[in-house]
Amino acid sequence: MGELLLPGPFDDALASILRGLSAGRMLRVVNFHATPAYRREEYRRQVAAYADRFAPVTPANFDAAFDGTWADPRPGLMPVLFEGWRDNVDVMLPILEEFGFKGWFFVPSAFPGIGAQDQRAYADAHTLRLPRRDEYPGQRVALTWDEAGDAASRGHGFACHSRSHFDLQPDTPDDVLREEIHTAAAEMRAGLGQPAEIFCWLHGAEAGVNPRADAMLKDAGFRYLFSNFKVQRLA
Amino acid sequence: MLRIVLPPLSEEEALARLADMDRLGRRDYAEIGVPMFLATEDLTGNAPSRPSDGTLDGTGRILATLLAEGVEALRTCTPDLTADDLARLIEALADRHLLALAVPAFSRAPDLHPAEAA
Repeated sequence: MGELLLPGPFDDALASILRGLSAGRMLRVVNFHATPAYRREEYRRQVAAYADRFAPVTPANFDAAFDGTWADPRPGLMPVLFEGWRDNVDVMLPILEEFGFKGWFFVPSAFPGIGAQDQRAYADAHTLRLPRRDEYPGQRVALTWDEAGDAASRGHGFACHSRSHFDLQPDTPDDVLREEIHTAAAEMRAGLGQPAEIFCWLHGAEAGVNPRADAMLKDAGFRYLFSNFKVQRLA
Repeated sequence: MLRIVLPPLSEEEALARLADMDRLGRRDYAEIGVPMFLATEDLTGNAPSRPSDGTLDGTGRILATLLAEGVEALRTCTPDLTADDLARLIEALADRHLLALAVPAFSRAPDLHPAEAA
C-alpha cells in the first residue's frame, strides 16, 4: 500500500468513519480481484459461509441497504469483483449464483475493449494484477461486454472503476477527469446497455480528495462513490 | 450522560492485534476475498436516521469502539497514522468480526429454537 489518500487530516477522517459505524450506517463487502479456478473450492466454501449469515445486496435493493429501509432480518453482503477479470465470470459467478448472491463487478471501462493479445500488457501497465498462474494462455483475460450484459440481465451489479484503472490525485487535470469519468460512463452504458450508477477509483479515493472530480461524477450521472472506507451517496 | 473511558489495551493484546494486521498484509490480495466494513455517508443532505441494515443491535457501536481502541494502540508505536494504517485496522476488524457479528441473537436462531420458528 502507501497510495491511499484521505480528504483531510487523519483524525477528521477517523471521526467520520466512527460516526458512521456507531450509528450502524455501514455496508459489509468482500473484495475480490482475480478469482482463479485453482481456488474455486476455497471461494465456494467462503460463499457458503456467507449464505448462512447474510442476505444478498443486489442492484434492486441497494438503495434499501444504504438508507435504512433494509427488510431482510439478516444483514446484507456485497461480493465485489474488481477489475473485470474473465475468471470472475467463469469461476466466481456460478458460485455466487449457486448460493443466491449477486456479484458486483467493478470494471475499468476500457479493459473489456482491449484486444485479447494486448490485455496482459494493458493489465501490467494499469495496475491490474493477474493471478500467479495464467489460466488462459494465449486467450483473453478480461470479461467481454457480452458476458457483462448477460450477467447484468441476471441481476448482477456493475460499477465503473474509472476508465483506465486511474489513481485520482488532488491535482488531476480536468481533461483527464473527463476521460476517466465521462468517457468511462459512456463506455459502461454502451457496453452494458444501461448506465452504471456506482463509481470507484483505483486506491479508493473518497469525496473531497478532488472536488472537481466529485462534481464531474455527479454530472456524469453517478449516484454513489465507493472508497476505501465509505460508500457515499452523491445524488 | 454516562461517559465511560475504557482502559487502554494491554501491551500484549496490542501487540497481538498488530501481529494479526501484519499476517493479513502478507496475503496475496490479487486472488483472495477480503471482508471490509464501509461506512455509509449521504452527501445529498438526506442522511438516513436508521442504521443502514435496519438493525438496532449495537453491532456498529461495537465496531466503532474496537476501531477507536485499535487506532490508539497503533499510535503507541506509530504516532503519525496514515490512510494505509486505517485500512489495515478496518481490514483486521472485518477479518475477525464480519462473520461473528452476523450471527442472530440466540433466541432468534431458528435452528436452535425450531419449535418457536415453526
